[in-house]
Amino acid sequence: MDLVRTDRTVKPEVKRLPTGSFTVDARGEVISSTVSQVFPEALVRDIGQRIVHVFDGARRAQLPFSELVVQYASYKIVAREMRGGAIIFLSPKPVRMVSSS
Amino acid sequence: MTKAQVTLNAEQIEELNQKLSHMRHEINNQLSLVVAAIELISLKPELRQKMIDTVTQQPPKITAEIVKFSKEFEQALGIMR
Amino acid sequence: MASRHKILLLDDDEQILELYQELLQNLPSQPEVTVSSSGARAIALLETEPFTLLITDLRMPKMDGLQVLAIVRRKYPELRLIVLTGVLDEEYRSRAYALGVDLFWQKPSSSEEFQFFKDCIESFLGRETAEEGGFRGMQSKSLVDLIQLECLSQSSTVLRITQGGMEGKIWLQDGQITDAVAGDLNGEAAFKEILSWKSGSFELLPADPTHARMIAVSSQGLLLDSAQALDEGRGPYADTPGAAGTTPAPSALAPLVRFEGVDFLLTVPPSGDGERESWGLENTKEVSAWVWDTQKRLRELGDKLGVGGLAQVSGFGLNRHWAFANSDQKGLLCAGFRRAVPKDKVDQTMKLMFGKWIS
Repeated sequence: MDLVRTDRTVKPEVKRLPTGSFTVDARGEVISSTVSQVFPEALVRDIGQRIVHVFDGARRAQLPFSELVVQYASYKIVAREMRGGAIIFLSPKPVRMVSSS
Repeated sequence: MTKAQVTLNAEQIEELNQKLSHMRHEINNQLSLVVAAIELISLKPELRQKMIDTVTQQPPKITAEIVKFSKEFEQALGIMR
Repeated sequence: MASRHKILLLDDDEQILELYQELLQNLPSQPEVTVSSSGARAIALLETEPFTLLITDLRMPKMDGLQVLAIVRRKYPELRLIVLTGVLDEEYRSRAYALGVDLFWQKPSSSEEFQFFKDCIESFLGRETAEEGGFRGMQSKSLVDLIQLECLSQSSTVLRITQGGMEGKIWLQDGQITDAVAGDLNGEAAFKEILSWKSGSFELLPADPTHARMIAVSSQGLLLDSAQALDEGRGPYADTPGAAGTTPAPSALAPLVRFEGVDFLLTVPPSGDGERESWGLENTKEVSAWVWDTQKRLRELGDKLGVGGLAQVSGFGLNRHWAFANSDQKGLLCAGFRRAVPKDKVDQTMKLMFGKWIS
């Protein structure tokens, strides 16, 4: 059995997730980012805008807060409010591998 | 051997708490040195040896802190008044 | 801006200084990093050169890190401040934030945390250094924060506060609150009265060391008590004096009220319409509208990224914390927590409550 030869016919699609951190202003516009350029700017901006919206809405509902933690099944977003904008940290969570047998 | 009951006053508890806090602080410092050194090994290969030295220095320091606190803890509970 | 950022790193451990200096200088923006193991020396350095960012530990042999921060924050309002400490201590964290630091970080002790830390610093350096309004922090400082600042810097001053037609004075001597006067009240009662005024303007008058000391209790204790009293009376939330609770909860929520630290509850039926149930909230409508909208937005984001379902969302604030989780069958459960509850407890408690609620 040749263990070294890679099977070129089957390439599993593994979706890469944006990782890193970025800062946005009060309008959700990206000020700086360490997220790889592979991910469209529009996506990063979308995340930023949604997060800023959450902070703003909370303030208006009389529930002001400064740190947001969003947990998905395989992803985590942490955001810290910063003078109207935010600094946002993105990290994929390790997915538990289930052996198929 | 009869089991003795131990009472610690507020001051003694505070002192023990301080020592615990000190230990945690030291160990966290030492662990963060390990992490930082490992990062540097990949970033700056020329510092490799120096960083390896830094890493190897930490486990005995960490152990020493734990031993020190354990002694202090045992001593404190050995106080009987 | 073509010029490099200048970072000042302050820590009592020489090895940390050495390694972190290397690592920080290695960041993409290539900042210039100066190190110091003495608070006094750091302050002297800040005087001679224009630094962008100060990163400091709190535990310093001769000068306490918080003291350094208090002084530095006042003298250099444009300087960014990051605390990088050995051990996370909630008390230090809130004091540091009250002082006006930009970030409070625990020294990273895992590779993942380290990545976050690096990304964070780099992001920081990427920001514009020009600040709208100049005095960062001062604009949004509440009275409590201001007094805290003065205490920490061991100031001696007389603080004169005017609010509408009322006037109050607080005497500080070497960082201790020694007396207060407000209308007919004096001492502690006057202090608490002044702090209950949510707005007003203040003046720092010259110290009056000969003024008799009428307040003997610890200033920290006084500030803490006042801040807590303010919390409980402030905002739209009904008074919830702990596990006993005077307001009865709707039957569906009753078992959840008993969880420690919970000070409000809210449920929204699946699909967002229908009867909301709440306990401990006065503006149920607004909060539920916001929670529902937030849930929807974040869920959409999750679908867009392909990261699976939204498990739990939590928010941490100076006054209180909250968390929510949603079930397609049962609806959304949102809970509020007292600010004293630590983050991981909020997380844990929410999971337990949600688990219980959907069962």
